[in-house]
Amino acid sequence: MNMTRDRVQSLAWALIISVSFALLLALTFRVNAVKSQVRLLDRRIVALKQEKSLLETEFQTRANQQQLAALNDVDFGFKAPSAAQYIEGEQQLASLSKPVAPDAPAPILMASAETQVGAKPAAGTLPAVLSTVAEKSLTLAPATRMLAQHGEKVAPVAQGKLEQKLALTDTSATAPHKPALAVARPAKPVGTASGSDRLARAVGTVAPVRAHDAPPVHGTPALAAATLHVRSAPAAASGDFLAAATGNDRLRTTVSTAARAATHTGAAAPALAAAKPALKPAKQPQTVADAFGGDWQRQMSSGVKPARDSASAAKPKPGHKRVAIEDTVGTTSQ
Amino acid sequence: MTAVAAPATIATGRRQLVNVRERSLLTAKWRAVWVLAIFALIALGAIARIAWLGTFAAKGGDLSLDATLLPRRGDIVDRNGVPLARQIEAYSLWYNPKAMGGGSPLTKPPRVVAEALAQVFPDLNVEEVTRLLASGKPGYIRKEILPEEANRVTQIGEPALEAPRLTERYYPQGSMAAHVLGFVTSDGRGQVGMEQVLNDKLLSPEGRAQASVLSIDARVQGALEDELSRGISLSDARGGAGIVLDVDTGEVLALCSLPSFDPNAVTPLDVKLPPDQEALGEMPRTFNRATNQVYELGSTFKPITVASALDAGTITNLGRRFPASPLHIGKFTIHDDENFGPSLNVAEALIHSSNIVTSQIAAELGGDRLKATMEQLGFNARSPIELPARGFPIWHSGEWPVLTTMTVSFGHGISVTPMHLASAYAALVNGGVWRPATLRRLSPGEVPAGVQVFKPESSARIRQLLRMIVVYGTGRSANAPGFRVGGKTGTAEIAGPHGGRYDKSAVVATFASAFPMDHPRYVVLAMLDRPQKTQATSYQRTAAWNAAPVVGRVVPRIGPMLGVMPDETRDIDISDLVPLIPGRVGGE
Repeated sequence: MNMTRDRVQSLAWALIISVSFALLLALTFRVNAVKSQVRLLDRRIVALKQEKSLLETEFQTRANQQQLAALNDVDFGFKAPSAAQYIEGEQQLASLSKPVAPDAPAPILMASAETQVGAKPAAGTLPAVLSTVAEKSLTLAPATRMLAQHGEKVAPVAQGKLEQKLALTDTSATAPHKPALAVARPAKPVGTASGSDRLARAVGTVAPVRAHDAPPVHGTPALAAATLHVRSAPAAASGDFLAAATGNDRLRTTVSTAARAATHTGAAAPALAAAKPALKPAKQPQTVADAFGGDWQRQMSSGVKPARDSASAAKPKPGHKRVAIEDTVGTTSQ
Repeated sequence: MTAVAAPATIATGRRQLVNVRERSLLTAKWRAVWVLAIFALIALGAIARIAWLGTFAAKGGDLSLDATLLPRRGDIVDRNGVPLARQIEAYSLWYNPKAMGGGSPLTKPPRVVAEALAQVFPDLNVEEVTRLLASGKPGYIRKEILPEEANRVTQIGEPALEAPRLTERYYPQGSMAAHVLGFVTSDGRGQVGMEQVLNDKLLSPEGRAQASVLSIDARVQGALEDELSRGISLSDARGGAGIVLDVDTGEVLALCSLPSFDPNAVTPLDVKLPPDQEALGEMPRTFNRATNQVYELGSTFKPITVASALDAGTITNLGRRFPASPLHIGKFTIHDDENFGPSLNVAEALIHSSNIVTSQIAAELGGDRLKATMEQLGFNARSPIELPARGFPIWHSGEWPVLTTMTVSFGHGISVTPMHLASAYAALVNGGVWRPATLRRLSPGEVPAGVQVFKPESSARIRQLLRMIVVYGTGRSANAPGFRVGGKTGTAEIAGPHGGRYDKSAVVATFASAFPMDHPRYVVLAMLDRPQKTQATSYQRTAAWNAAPVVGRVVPRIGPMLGVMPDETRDIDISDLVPLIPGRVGGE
């Protein structure tokens, strides 16, 4: 009996050891398999990161300062805004406004909603801008957001050429606590479209963004929203032009990064124009001037129902405030 | 008998059993000892392993993901993180005749393959490539090809044409800031610029893991190069140099020397010219005119002389008038380019750039004091900037006689680099503190205290005078509206080789400036080497017509980038000095 018990015990131990060993082996194999997978993934990550680095370098090369400067010289001709195009403070900006004519439509108001009382927008992000025309929030392009995060001057780009922009800047370096507004115009008429092609429908205002919302770049935070005149675009979109000029189709989809590169050149506008194809398509630009055919004040005061451009205006809903920010970001055709 | 035998057997059996039991116990004990010993050994091994891992294994993580991704040479970026130099794995085109195993290395005739390659690379030498393909020897057909070119080569369908990757140094911005960056030789050594200065750091694990940050701002650098290049073209100059310097820190935001070179494709001629061209005074493209070449920078020295005189108290009244008739010192005569009348006050002397009056101011000041000022500005030593190419000034040691004092006062008889002058102008306008120029980005705590060369009051006066030169004097074409530029032109004839005579047709035109003068932030210097009289410069050769306009175009481009917005409602107060300029116009 004793012998039998001993044998049983021995067999049990042997069985336990065998099972444990088998489990150990299985576990070891499993661990090694996972390790192999991790190694393969590591290699893949390395390869992809190297590929990404190469593509970044390629893009930086194609969008380098000399390329963009040459592009600007040949096609756009933009230059830095002059002193007269800057507005010093809100008072000077307000002095540019005209008195409201009799029977004029309700003043244009802008609204913003905060999700929490007292909550501030996250650092590096722009507050949501609602377009009552498009009836949805304006989608800023990645490049614009990127610029905002870097505290750079941001100028949304309309279809065609940048006619005018309002830049809300912080000149704390030279005038502490005194924000300045910049009105930038192109140095010279450029492009192929004639003046009659222009659809001067912009009555814009500054986007509700604050310069201090974005982290400054060596003390010079600047954010800009744009009031843009829209005009017919050349046959080739700017992104296509850039792609054609550089021979790289990849630019068609990655031009948004060009905007950031261009801000380092002093010729931001061409690159922002180049960034256009990357922006999200949206509805047609809508402003008061759009809706009432340009000379809306005269028409309203004379009691004549304003003519509507069927291609441009959408009737605002009653009680729905207009937002005078053109949804020009992402307009793809005109 | 039987009864006696049985107990004996039993006793013997018991003894045997006792012995067996003892042996078994002994065996069991030994076995236990062995097991314990084995476990002790294992435990010791484990402890030793743990100790080894804790002591040595921490350094052995070379196979980690981060280590694999580390470039062989660290990146260089500008102050905003824009890559200026980086390491890439570029494609190359390699001919491997053994790719097919045995037999013919190509599926098509070499000539056909070479022509197919010429479709991809239009500048390919078909004959040469045909010979290479026919030779059956391996070799590079191209060392740098684009990814799409590699794809097109693959589409040719020749396994012998391979596109391996080579690690190489690459400069995404091309020739921009080439003299600041330098280049890397085929054996991996940095040359000329910060590649040479930072060579060891860039190869160290720390330098590879973290990019080296320069003080350069790529946007400012690009604008400066653009405008300087334009100025060189318009004036048909041989070359030029430009500097943008932070007056409060000494950081160089842009530094260029033109003509430049492409660090991605350095040729032997970029490094050394043939003797016949060197004899003509030509310089290779890698030569840095901004920090390596010393020039007599002419009238740009006059504000330094006046500031020194204000400091010393030899000038207490800027309205004091000095005779403006030519000065005869021994056999030399000091004269002005124009006759500005019988006398000039100090403000007029700077606005009209009078050598005669400046010489008299310097003579009153004395050689010792002027020399001491120049020494404090570092004009007797190489510029402290990190670049390896730093020229040594041509400097008079010992006591300065009157004539030397006079000529130095208006920038002759002393040769310094444009970098020296930019640092001196920073001290002139920032309250009088000279700080060493640097190409490293400085955090606020790293800014050197500097040397107080001028009194703050003198610096304030000089700011007014420099602004007046731009508003009323020779620097008017640099007066970018709203940017409150102040500066001084300088046009100096170049002495012939080996101490030859001055050549009136060969000049160095310089405009040294700062902006905004109500609170100077940046020095901008533009220098043109041997500008010519062209239609674009109204057939003038002086700095007012070629160098000053460069600054006038650079400042509006870089000002907003650097946080200086144009404002025509703001300016430095020069109302107390304006009455000193009756006509308020002048020429160089």
